[in-house]
Amino acid sequence: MAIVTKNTIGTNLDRPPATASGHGAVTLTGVSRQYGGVTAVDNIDLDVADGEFFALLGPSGCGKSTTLRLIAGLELPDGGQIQIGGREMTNVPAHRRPVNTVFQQYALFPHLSIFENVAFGLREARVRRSEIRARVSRMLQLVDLVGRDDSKPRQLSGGMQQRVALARALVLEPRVLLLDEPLAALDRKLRRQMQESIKDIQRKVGTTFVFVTHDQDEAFSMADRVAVMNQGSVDQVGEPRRIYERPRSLFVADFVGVSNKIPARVVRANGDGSYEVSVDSLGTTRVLGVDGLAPDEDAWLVVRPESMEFRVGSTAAALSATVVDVAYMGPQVVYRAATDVAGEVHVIAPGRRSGNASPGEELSVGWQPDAGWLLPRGN
Amino acid sequence: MTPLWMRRRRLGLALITSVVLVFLYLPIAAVLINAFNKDSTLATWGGVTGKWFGQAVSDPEIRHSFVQSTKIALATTAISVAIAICAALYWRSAGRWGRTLLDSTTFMRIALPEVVTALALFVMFRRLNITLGIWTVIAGHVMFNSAYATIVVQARVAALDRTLEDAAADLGAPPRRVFRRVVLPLLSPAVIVAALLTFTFSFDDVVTSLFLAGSGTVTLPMEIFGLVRFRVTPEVNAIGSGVMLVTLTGFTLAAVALFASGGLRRTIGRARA
Repeated sequence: MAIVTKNTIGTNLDRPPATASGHGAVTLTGVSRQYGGVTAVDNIDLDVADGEFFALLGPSGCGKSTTLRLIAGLELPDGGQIQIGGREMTNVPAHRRPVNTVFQQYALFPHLSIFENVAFGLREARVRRSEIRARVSRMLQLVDLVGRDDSKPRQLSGGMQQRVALARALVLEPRVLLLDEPLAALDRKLRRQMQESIKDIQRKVGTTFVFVTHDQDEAFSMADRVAVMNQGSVDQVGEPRRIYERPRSLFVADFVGVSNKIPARVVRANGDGSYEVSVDSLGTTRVLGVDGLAPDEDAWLVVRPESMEFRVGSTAAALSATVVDVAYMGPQVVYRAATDVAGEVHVIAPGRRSGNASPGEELSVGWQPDAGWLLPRGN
Repeated sequence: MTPLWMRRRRLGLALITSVVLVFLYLPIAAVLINAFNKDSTLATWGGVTGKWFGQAVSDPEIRHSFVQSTKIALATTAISVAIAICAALYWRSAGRWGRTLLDSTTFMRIALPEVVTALALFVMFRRLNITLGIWTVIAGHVMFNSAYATIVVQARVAALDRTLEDAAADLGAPPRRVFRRVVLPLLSPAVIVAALLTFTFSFDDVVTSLFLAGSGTVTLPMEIFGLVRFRVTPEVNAIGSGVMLVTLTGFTLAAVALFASGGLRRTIGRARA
């Protein structure tokens, strides 16, 4: 069963969905950018499809914001090529690119009214006055800001300013909308709401969105596909589920969630993406893993906490463990348990159906056979 | 009850402050009062009259010098503010050395005594065989006024949020339009302050004008200076009062502009938040 899952998820989803026009909304080929000897973006390739909601995810300083600024034309690359809507844009300045940006701190013009902020780009494009009026009010309606035309940005709340920024960028009907951590400045509850309304708006207008965030929840809940960036490179591109369940590197595995790492040794590569591995004290089991692992190689068997479970007594596919800590979180209970083989592991059980394990108790922890994922030890 | 020593000290401070203020402002008050004094010798108070103002206004030499001073002040203002904006924007994107260089030339022009810069310009113009006149006076005024204007505009530029310019470019504005629609409006309070200060400093300057005016050009302060060499007439007091009015108006407007752009707006913002 596990192998079937591998095959369905495996082949197509790393690539963008095919588009009618035959080319993507944004294509980066070997793009690099340095700042005074420091490489911010290192030879990256990206392909964003038309109409897609695409997230660039990574820790601060990984180059995701620089990548966005390169697409916007606010920075020019030191090497590589940028195409937008199939057209060569590598050295085209920002004001002549068919993309618009929602900036992290919104960057609304403080001296202009909300109406004039949204109309800014239309005036630059020399759109007729009557049409400007119509398009701005339609856009303010879309972002639910009717009647605030004459307010100044500073009179609006953070969430409202955020929506003005969105309206100001979308009113120009860009080929691609770029969003640079647009929700970072909002409090948690408002952020949830905005995530949903941004997603709704994207579905309504059908524009390609490229969204930068350091928040894995945000990327996963909003994006069709996610690119995980690390130190200027793209580690993995794919659907959220695939990135979470089939991470290509330990960095990706750790960045998008908690991973329990169980030391294992490759016994045999089966050639279909699965491996026979031996785990100390458990004998050999069959697991899926990244390509290219060789027999006798040391590896990590990575298991997500929610795929772990406590078992009574010691069974074959389980590690003996001592419960260290129990944290009740409402929908789920998070256990920390110490094992001989894998150090401390996290186990997440649904809150309602959870047993009553308490600190000090000795149990064994196991995992569903298809839940493990094998990664090389080296990285 | 406040202890006695404290009340005494407070009284002493009040006394010293009053004396200082009286000595500073008494001469100015005397000029204002004598501008209305009917007694032309100014020896006694002869009653109120406005005729000295009339006389001053109708004097062709004074009228001419007033026009000259206004022209010089307007030209100085325009050039100094333009220099200030360019310098401040350059300063923002300059590296460490560029900044140091710019800052030191700015402070040098303020720190050097006016006599020295005026003399230096005088010598230079003579060497280059440039005829002294209204344009050499303007050059002299720009020399130090652009430095003051630069400092005022620079402070505002430093506080300017660069992402606003990114946003404008992103929305389709080419660099020239970004400057026109975003940078300039946001700098405008500082530009207004710089302009009013520059106008005022230029309008009442004596030293630089004396050095660089040559024989054909007379500014209003030079004219006054010439008049008082013989005798202080009520007419001079009237002109002095007039200059005071122009200068004070300039400074008041500058203060209001500064207050309206920064202090007041920030206060309102805080009250709203």
